Amino acid sequence: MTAAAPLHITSDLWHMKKGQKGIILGYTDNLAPAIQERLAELGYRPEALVQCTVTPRLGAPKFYRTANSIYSLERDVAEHIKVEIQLG
Amino acid sequence: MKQLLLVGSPNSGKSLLFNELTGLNQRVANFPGITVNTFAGVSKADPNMDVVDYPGVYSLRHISGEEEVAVKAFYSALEKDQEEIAAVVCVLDATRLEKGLFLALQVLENCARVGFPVILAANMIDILERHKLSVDIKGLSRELGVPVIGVSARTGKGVDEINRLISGRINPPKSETGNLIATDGGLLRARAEHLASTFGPQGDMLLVSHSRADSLLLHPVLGGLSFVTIMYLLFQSIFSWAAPLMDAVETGILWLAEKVVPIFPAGWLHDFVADAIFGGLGAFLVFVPQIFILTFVVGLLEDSGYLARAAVICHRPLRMFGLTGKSFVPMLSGVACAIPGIYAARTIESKRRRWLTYLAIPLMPCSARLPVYGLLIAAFVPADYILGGYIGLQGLAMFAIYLFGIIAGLLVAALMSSVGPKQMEDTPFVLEMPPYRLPGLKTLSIHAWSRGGDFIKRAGPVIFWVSLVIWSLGYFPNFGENLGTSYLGRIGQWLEPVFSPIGLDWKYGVAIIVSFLAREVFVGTLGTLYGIEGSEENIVSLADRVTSSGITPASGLALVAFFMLASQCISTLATLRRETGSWKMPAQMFVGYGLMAYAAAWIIYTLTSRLL
Repeated sequence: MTAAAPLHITSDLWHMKKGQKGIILGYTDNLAPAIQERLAELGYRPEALVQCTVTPRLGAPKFYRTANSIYSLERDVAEHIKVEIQLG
Repeated sequence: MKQLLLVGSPNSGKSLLFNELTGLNQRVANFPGITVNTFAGVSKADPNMDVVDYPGVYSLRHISGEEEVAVKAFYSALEKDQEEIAAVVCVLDATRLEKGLFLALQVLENCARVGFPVILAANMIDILERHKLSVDIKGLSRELGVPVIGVSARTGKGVDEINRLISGRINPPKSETGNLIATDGGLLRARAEHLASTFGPQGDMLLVSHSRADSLLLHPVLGGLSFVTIMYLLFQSIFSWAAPLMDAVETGILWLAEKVVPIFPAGWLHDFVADAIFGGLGAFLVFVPQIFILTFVVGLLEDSGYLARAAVICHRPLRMFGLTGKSFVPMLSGVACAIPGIYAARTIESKRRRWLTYLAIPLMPCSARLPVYGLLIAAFVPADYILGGYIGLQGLAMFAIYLFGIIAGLLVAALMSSVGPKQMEDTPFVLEMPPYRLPGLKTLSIHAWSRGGDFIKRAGPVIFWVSLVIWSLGYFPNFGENLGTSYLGRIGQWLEPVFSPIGLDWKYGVAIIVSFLAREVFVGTLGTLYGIEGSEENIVSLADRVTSSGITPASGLALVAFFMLASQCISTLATLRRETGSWKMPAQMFVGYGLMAYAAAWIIYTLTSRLL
């Protein structure tokens, strides 16, 4: 008998693929408290559902949707937001 | 006079509601952070009430300079007497209720503390209705204990209801949990989320068509291609679309001159009207249609929601020059005029990248340079078309000049990024993506018309007085007999050694010196000077006079380079002083860019006069 594949993986916002959804777990300590506070105000807060909607190439900021708003986040901030990506 | 305070998050449609309430034409755009100052206008419904529009903020805890202005202004308004404030209208985007409620709850708590009445305006209700969605207005109003109005600032729906409420008595809100909710971010978020999920629209507001448009406009290849095409069309339109209008204005001015000038008997007044009024002021007015077209097309891009995507596309390339994607909109605004561009730079939270953007903006090819470029292009570039008539050479030349101006701005930013101060605060790129919207052509036309009018009002008097002084110095003491021996001729010949290394005679030298007041004065001054010199001839276009003046194409190129780089606008320097709090940066910029402009003009003249 083989073990069932996990239905979610822990990663960060930047590594989400287009269309993937996930639950925000928190922020890394490298993100300044003021930025953490603003992200939370915009809806990127722990336990919030987030979806990656657009992934332009060449390192351009990616689009992330939370509630009915979409923000573009560059790598420097997106990779400091920890997320549990839902698979399948 | 009572005040109605208008607050809300960025891109909530606050300024559009301000226009509906006042009948004014405050700039609106589909890009977060367009309002960067507080604006006031008299209410249409009550002439004894001022409506005050504050810049949009996500929260009353500011993190950027732009938000700081709004938050401080709002808190200082809260210190006023209750009798002075009719109400605080907090505008929420009904399609994204949670975001707006976060701010609204902070506003409610603060207003409860000082006893100011509050109305919540749930804007864009028409968009919800179009998607068969709704907000439980009554339920939300009952829950929060304040009036909530469903509004469409675009169509005017709900505006009468706001005016009706204000004319009556509104009870101030009651504090929900003392001051706790206003200070505890977690509690506030939980409350906003609960309210949005209970009373907000229960459905998906982000349309599939938006995703499709993003897939195309942000595509790795097609996105970049679309961006270049859109920018190219922008500059091509300045010539192609404006040409018939410019011809019409020029024909009108010439027709008027032929009718008006003969009314005056021969003498100094006759010559003054012909040379200074029609030659100087008239030459400048010919270029106003280009400013109209430029403002219209930039507005079209802003209103559509594309500019936010363009900022994303540009983010990585701009980072190579030390800037950010958020520098794109201030720099593009700088293409119309550096002053709104400098104000728009407040949206850049990072102090370092804002400073670098300030350095780049004055090098953007602003509309004040347009008459100068337009004149030189008309004088040196034939009005021919290539590639089957699709590409005009003059439009192409304008595109190249604009491109070089932008590249110059980027290179200066990159240079200063590597040698400038490193210890400035930096913040990452987070930008709200507004939904795509069909631009309101009426609003855009009104804005472009008012922008053209502002340009005439701002530059017109300066050009008139400069033309008057230049004409007087050039006309006397020999009553226009010989420009070379006039007072101006003597001053010009004294200045000539400065400009002869770039192949320019003293007349161009005088025009350049006075253009340090404002660039567009250059055209008016040349118009006046050639008017005096050629007073016996029929009135012909200034471009024809420049062509026949003997100036070489190498000098023409050197002039373009000089105007591209020199910091010749007093209003821009004064605005920069206001934004940075000192004269240090404007003074350094004036001297540094002036020297750089002269050096570039000399190098270009020396090289091209050998090649051509």
